[in-house]
Amino acid sequence: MNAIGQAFELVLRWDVLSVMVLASAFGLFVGATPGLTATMAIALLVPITFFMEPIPAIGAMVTCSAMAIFAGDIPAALLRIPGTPASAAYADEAYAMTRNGQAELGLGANLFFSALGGLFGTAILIVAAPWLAEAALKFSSFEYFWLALLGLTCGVFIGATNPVKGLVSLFIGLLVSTVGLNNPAGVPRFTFGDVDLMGGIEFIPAMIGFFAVSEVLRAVVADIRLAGVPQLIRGSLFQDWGRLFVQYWPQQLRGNIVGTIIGALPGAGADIAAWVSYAVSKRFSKTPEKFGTGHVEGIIESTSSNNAALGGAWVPALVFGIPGDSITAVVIGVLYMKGMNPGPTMFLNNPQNIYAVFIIFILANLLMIPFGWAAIKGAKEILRVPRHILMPCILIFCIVGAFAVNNSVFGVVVMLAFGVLGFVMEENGIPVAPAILGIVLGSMVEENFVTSMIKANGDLAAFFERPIAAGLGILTILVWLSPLILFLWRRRGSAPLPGGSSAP
Amino acid sequence: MRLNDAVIGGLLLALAVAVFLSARTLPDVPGQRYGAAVFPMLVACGLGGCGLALTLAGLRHWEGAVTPAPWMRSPAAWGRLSATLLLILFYIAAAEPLGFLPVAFVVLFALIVLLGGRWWVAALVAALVALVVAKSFGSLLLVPLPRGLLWL
Repeated sequence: MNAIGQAFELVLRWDVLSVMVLASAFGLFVGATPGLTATMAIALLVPITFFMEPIPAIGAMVTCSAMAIFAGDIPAALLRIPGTPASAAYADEAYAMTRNGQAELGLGANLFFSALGGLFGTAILIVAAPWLAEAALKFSSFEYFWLALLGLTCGVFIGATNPVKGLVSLFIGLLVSTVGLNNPAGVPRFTFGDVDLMGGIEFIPAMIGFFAVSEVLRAVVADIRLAGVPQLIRGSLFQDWGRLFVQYWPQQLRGNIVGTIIGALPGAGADIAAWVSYAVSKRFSKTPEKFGTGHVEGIIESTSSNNAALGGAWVPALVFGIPGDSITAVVIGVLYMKGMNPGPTMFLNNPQNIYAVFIIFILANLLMIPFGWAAIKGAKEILRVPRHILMPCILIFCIVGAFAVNNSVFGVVVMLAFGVLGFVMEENGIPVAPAILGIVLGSMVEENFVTSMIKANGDLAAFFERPIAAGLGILTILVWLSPLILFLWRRRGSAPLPGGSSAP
Repeated sequence: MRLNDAVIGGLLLALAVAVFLSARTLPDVPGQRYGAAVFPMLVACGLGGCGLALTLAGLRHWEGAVTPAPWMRSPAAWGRLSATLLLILFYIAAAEPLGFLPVAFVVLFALIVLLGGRWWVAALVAALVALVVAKSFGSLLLVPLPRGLLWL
């Protein structure tokens, strides 16, 4: 029996498939509700996946995130309020299309190209992950140290408006990861003599606090009611697909590629992919003046991109255990708890699990077409659920979820603390995503750093002796220096240059 | 709320110093030069560096320690925020002695009313959601939710 056959047997079971269907409905609802993000959908789902086998758990998370990222487009088009941050880049454009009476065309394009983008990201995942895993087998603690550091670095620098605040968030996350007994010397560290803290700060309650409770608190202070009731979508969503595909295939392909790459870069996910792709589309468009007036071109490119990013984010997550975005950060935490430690050895020892992930990805993106169609048709009902009822229910789910991880009230305390911390951080322009990366990767960075230091007897040069480690190290340091290099480049560019040559 | 960067920077700097000093006392791996202390000390250095950078940047653009966000001028928003936090604290304190069902009902009911729902809608939704959550988590997923005074 080969691994691919086993993988099909793992996935094509009624329990896995029904979990995926339920997760689709949940993901579509959360994604389509403004103020609830895809990451929050995952955060609320994790306590439930906790009680599942690994494969249905992965199926639930993959399906839910793919559906949520697509569904964010629905209120963006109908109300000009992006359902998730990943749809913010083209919310104005999509709403303009709706006002021009082209809601069917716009939402149809969102649905079709979201699914295509997701499938493209999956294809890259299928090709790239095993290939990278082979290389990763030769890695030692030096390479892993640099990889983890590179991941954290990308998380801070990509898409951050203020890199210093990104760094603050990252260091807070790393600091949180040092709490407890799990350290090289096995001594209680920063536990203040508290027994609960000795086990370390549990990742799941922290994440529920960061991504869900802080969101509830924001909704509580903002007191926003939904602006207007969306119209019903009557026309056919499918009629323009062939024409759009023929006319815009280069944009679609470019969106797919950019999205997959940005997704694979640690720390940057679907949100940033959509912004970059929208900008790229406008920059290279033959008709940039039409952008912003309800033109479908930029929507196609960026809606492809944000769904492609989801697949891309799983490449470093599966191969190195380094999350490509905040969703995979959560997934990695769950995989560890399930004993399915991500890393190259998983490709050797349990290839059927890897293939099962691939199959789940393909299924999720195919399911998106019928389920997405239903969500668009039912958008009016979904968007009518009142927020003053929704938010309290979410809070109770958060509390039960944080409790269920260890069956202890301490989880709820951690959740509350991180909810307040996340709320205050976001209010002050400090992003929370790098902190989650820090919490997930902290022990990996520390372990590989201390092991490497002991191996090298404190000689920092050893971090650059192995060729791949040296390459990764230089790359990391280059990213650190990039703000400085950019600054110097701009100064050189703005200064008048002799000889008439000019910087681009 | 927008605290001035210098205020955040100062707080971070203080945190970094505290972490550094307390990490220095942590023991090494027996027989090795590196152990539990080195990583937190590095993190503290990084945090301190960021704190310093934010302090300097904040002092250059000083416009008072706090620039209130729009919602902060509304006492009602403060009331809703503190009530939400108090309700979570109430859950933490009361769930064990009173049990999940009554406490979850109170939290849901109070929060829905607080956010502008009608009281009878709130009572209905709170009762229904508390029961569904208790049944699905408590009986299906076997989470030992606190039973307290009242259970199904």
